[in-house]
Order: sequence, then C-alpha cells, then structure tokens
Amino acid sequence: MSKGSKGRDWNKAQPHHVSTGKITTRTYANNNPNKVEWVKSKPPKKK
Amino acid sequence: MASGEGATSRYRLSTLRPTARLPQSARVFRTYPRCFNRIMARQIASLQDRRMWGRALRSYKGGFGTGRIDDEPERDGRLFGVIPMERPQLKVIWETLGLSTTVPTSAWHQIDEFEEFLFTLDAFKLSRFLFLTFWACRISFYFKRGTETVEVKNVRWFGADTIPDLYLTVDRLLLKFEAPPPMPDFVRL
Repeated sequence: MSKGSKGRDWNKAQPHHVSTGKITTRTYANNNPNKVEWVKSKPPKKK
Repeated sequence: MASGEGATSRYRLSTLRPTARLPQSARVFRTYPRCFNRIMARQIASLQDRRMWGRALRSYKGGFGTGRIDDEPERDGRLFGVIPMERPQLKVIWETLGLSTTVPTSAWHQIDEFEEFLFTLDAFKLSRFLFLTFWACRISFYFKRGTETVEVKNVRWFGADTIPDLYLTVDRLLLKFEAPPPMPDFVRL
C-alpha cells in the first residue's frame, strides 16, 4: 500500500462527495445516499 | 474537575448565570470582548423581510410560504418557501447540483414514480459584524404522490446579503440551471 492512501484499500469501493470529490465515511454514505457516490479510484486533483 | 454544570458552562457565551470556579490552570481566558460573540448570531426575520420574501415568492407560479397570505412569523424566525416544479426541471436541477444518480438507495430512482415535486427554501437571517445582515438559505426537495412523500433534505446551502440577491440565485438555478456559488468562509452554521 502506498504511503499517501490513508490506509484505503482501492480494490473496494469508497464513498465520496459528488460535489467536492472528498472521500467520506460509510456511515455518512448510508445516511445521505443522495450526496455520495461509490468509486474505486482516487478522484483527480483539482488544479 | 468541577461537576458537569461548571465544566461545560465555562464555554457559555452569555454571562446571565454565574459559572463555577475552576482551578486556575483549567480556566480558559477570553482574548476578545464579549460583544464579538454577536458577529454571526441568528436573528428573527422582521416584518419588512417577510413581506419582501412573500413578494418574491409570488413571482413563481404556485409559490407558497412565509409572507404569502398573512404576516405571521415562524417560531424560530426563519423564512420558508415552496415552489412547485416539473419532473424534467427537477432532473436537470438534480444533475446541476451534483447529487448522486448511481447509488441504488438514492431518491433519483424514485423520481419517475412520483407526480408532484416541490422545491423548498429555508432562509435564516444572520447578523454580521453587529450591523450588517447575511442570509443563509438551504434547498431541499419533496416528492409527492397522494399521501406519500419523499423528502430530500439539505441538498445545498447558499447565501446572499439581501433577499432579492437570494432569489436571483434561485432564478438562475430554476430557469438557467446554474449551480449556486458556494457559501463564503465566514459563515459558520
């Protein structure tokens, strides 16, 4: 696992905010299904 | 450490109740005047605000909310407004605001089952630097079919200095499908 991945396993899907692209918790994703999407790769950084 | 009352009340903003004395090492000293606590306080919308809000709501077909029929205030001083919208309009707004469409539990998949769609606004008046005001507004959606309702709460927050500016943002969203700008950093909700 690389150093900057914060211990995330990218073989599994992670929830992230659609608007900002930030990875969130599973609890937040379950409570707010309209605001998150599940991704399997890191979103591209905004310049 | 002191008992529960004293331990929590040293962070209290008002001085109405005396706080329990804590040991000198545990006490937190304030480095700013007490009046600075009023920088971003919530206020009750005035009669003028309610009338202006109701006048702005009347420009939408079927718009309903505070200031529409009578000038009774809400208990907590906020303003609310409901604007009906069509299904294709909702779908475009949903994608404009960046809500999820791929999650199976998302309300996106229930849009086709419902008939009426409501665009809801809740506006809160905040005081800014003692004299100025700032309006924080949140968007939520309601889907209706008979007695069934689905609510999509807290879709987006946005803000403006005046009520006409708020409705300018709403116009841009409902008619031109432009997303509202993000909330400025000085707003702490």
